[in-house]
Formats: sequence, C-alpha cells, structure tokens
Amino acid sequence: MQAVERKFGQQFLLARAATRFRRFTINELHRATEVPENTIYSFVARLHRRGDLETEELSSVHPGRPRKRYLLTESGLDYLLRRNALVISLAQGEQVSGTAPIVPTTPAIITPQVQSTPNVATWYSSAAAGAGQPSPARPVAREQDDESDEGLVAAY
Amino acid sequence: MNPNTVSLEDSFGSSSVYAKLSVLTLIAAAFRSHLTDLMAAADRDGGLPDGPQILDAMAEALSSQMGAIREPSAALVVWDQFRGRLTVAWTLGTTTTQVIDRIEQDLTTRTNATAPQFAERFLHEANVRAAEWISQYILPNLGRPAITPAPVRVTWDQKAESYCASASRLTGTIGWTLQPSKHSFYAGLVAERVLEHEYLSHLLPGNLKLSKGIREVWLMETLEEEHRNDQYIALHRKQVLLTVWTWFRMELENHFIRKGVLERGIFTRFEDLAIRIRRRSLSSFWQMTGDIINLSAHQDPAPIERALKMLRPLPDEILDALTIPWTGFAPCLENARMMGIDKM
Repeated sequence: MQAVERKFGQQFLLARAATRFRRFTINELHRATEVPENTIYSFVARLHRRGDLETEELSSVHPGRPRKRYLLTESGLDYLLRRNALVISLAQGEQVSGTAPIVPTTPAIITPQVQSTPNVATWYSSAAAGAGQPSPARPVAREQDDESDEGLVAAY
Repeated sequence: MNPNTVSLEDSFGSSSVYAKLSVLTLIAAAFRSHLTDLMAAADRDGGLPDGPQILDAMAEALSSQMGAIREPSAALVVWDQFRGRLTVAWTLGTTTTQVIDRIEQDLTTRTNATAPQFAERFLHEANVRAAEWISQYILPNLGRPAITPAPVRVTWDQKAESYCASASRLTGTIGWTLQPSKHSFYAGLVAERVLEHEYLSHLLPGNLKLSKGIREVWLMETLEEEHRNDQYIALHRKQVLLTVWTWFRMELENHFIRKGVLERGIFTRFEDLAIRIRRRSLSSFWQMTGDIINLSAHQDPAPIERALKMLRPLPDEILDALTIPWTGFAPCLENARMMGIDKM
C-alpha cells in the first residue's frame, strides 16, 4: 500500500512541477521533485504519447544520447491542471476537518468517501457514470497493479 | 540615477554588513547581464551542468560565504569559490566557459570600479521597473490608476527567518531583506519581479485581512501568468527569466516551509486556480482579481477565501458554471450552495 501512496504523490508532484516550469528537462524535474528518474521518464512518456509535450533536442558536445527539453503544450497544461484539481478534490473528500490539505510528499491514501452531503467527489462519480466511464474510485484501485494513472483522469 | 527610493537600516552602517549587500548586488548584476547567453550556452554544450545548476552553484557559494564577507572586493573571492565548485563537479563545455569568462570579466570591472551606492542604485532601478510594469500591465485590468515607486527599506536578517521581501500597507513601504540563504541570489537575479509581487500582493489590496493563500498563491500566479503572456519581451529572455523565477519560488518555499514560517497547505488550497480560470475566461479572471484587490478594509474577506477554496478542486464544467460570467464571490457561493457543492 505504501508503494501505491508514493506513486500517487509522485505523480502529483511531477504534475505540479511541470505546470510551473512548462519547459523542463528530466534532470530539472528530478532536482525539483526528488522523484526517481525512472518515474519521471514514465511521466514524460505518458504525456508524450498523449501529444501533450513537444520535444527539443539539445545539441551536445559530450558523448552519449543528446539531452532533451520538453515543452508542455496548451492541451498538456489543461490536462495537468485538471488532474491536479481532481487529486485535491479526492484529498479533500478524505479530510474531515477541512484544514491543512495534503501535498503528498508522504501522501495520504486517497479514496473518496461516501458522504451523505453531496460533494464534488460524488459529482465526479455521477458525471463519469453518465459518460459511461469508470467511477473515480476505480482508477485509484488500479494503481495497485498498474503504474499508470490514466484511468484517474478518465473521470473528466 | 539618484537611488532615492532605497534606504538602509542602521545595521548597514557597519562596513561589513554593507559589503554583504554590495557583493550580492555586484554578482547579481554581472549574472543578469549575461543570463540569457549563459542559459543558451549551457543548452548548446549539452550535458551537465545545465543552466539552473550553474546558478545553483553560485547561490550555494554566495550563501555559504555571506557570513564571512567584510568588504565588496570579497565578490571576487566568492567568484573563485563558485568556479572551484563548477570545476570540481563538472567539465564545462567551451561555449559555457566563454560566457562564464565574460561574467567574470564583468564582475571584476564592476568590483574594481567601486561605484558609490551601487547596491542602492541596483535596487532602486529594479523598484522603478517594478512599479512601471505593474502600472502598465496589471492596473489597467483592475481599473486602478498607475502607481509611483514605493520607498524600499533594506534590512539584514542573519538568521534568514523572515521573508526576503515584505511590505507594509500602513506605511506604504516595501522591505528588502538580505539573508545568508540561497534564495537571496535568485532574488537578486529577478529583483523587479520580487518587488512586483510586493506591490500586487501586499501594497495594492485594500483589505489587510486577505489570507496568505490569496496573496502568496492567487496573486502570485496572476503576476506569473501575466509575465508568461508578456508579448513585449524576446521569447528566449522571457523563458530564461521564468525559469529563474520558478527556481527562486521553489527555493523560497522550501526554505520557509523548512523553517515553519510557511504552511505547505496554502498551495493545495489555491494553487493552479488562478491559471485555470484565466485560461477559461480572461474577463472572469480579471473581475475576480479586481474584487480581491479592491475589497475595502471594512469588508469581510471570508467569502473570497471560502469561494476560492470551494472552486479549487472543481472540474471544468462546474468551475465554468460558477465563474462565467463572473457575478461576485457571494453569488458564486450561493450558486454553489444551490448546486450542493458548498461543503467542499
């Protein structure tokens, strides 16, 4: 379970750093978030597959593969902003007191609770169901056996 | 130019304290002149160090030596330390080395020239530029008249426990704090932006009770996004400054969160919201920002805080429904209540 929590927090931190930098290298994201490079490569590859990143190859006088800089596209920025909003909505759904929300450097387990008072988590649920997409609870569960957080975003 | 907006606190009467400010500004000025070239050269050479790592090496060298600085010529000693750090850690590419040589030349010239009141002039010029930029790009959107530069009072904070800049709405002054910390160097590189933040987040709002979240996140993002969309600055220069600014913010946040001065939670309550709303409706964004800035001293800021917290996690469709067109914070909360989402 701890591994799941860590991954969730890492994705949040990476999205946060990427929306701030907009132009970044793997090394910069690594220094800014301290997330392991392998996770950053997965994060970048996923955005790249979605067409959310443009790539600039930096010429190099050093031997080895040339360094790349990534530019977050407009659609990529929208995607990450929406995704972070969803993370926060789920985190707030978990909070009882409503104070001191979590930036998950040691993230909370984020599972939407069933509440009698309607809130955005339940709205997500009904919106997703209406669109024939999985409920927001499902992608969190998926993370236990799958690194991808694509499903989490499908709720949008 | 007469540095008439900048004054120094009494501790700067000591030549060693004044020397610390001189060294910081001398080094920052030398880097600023070649910043775009430096970042481009590091890109061209590829490999490591990249541009931000080079700046970080200087930030490290300066903050570690700050306590030992006794005279302005120590700028060259700090420089030697910086070059030593680079040489030990990396093999610099030819283009990067050439730019660093030029910065060194520039720094040596400035240091040997011993221009009187160099530090005050450096900050004064940044202050004038900051007030002009705010007047030109922010205030017209808020229906407010242009401002004149506020007085800047420079203080020395050896323990690096207070903010690196501050502002007093009551006296209409800005405080600039010299600290032995890494973010001081970054603050020197983007001095006008630091001051712009003081104008926008602390001097302009009419209500003194606005929360840190609104001032340090919403209004900070307002400033940052306006710079991102600035059409009147060369693209490469803009990107470089945004990169430096982002590292400055991160360095600063980490410093104050470590010291317990800043609560990390303020970022999750408000972060990204200004950017999202700005992208979805520019007019709603400026009306909201106008409502925040123009809130008078006797009005209650609680509804603004509640509404922004409520809006932050909403999906786009509901966010749009509640903010476009913008009708005010109280109606926004009322609409949210009717939709059953005001408990968030």
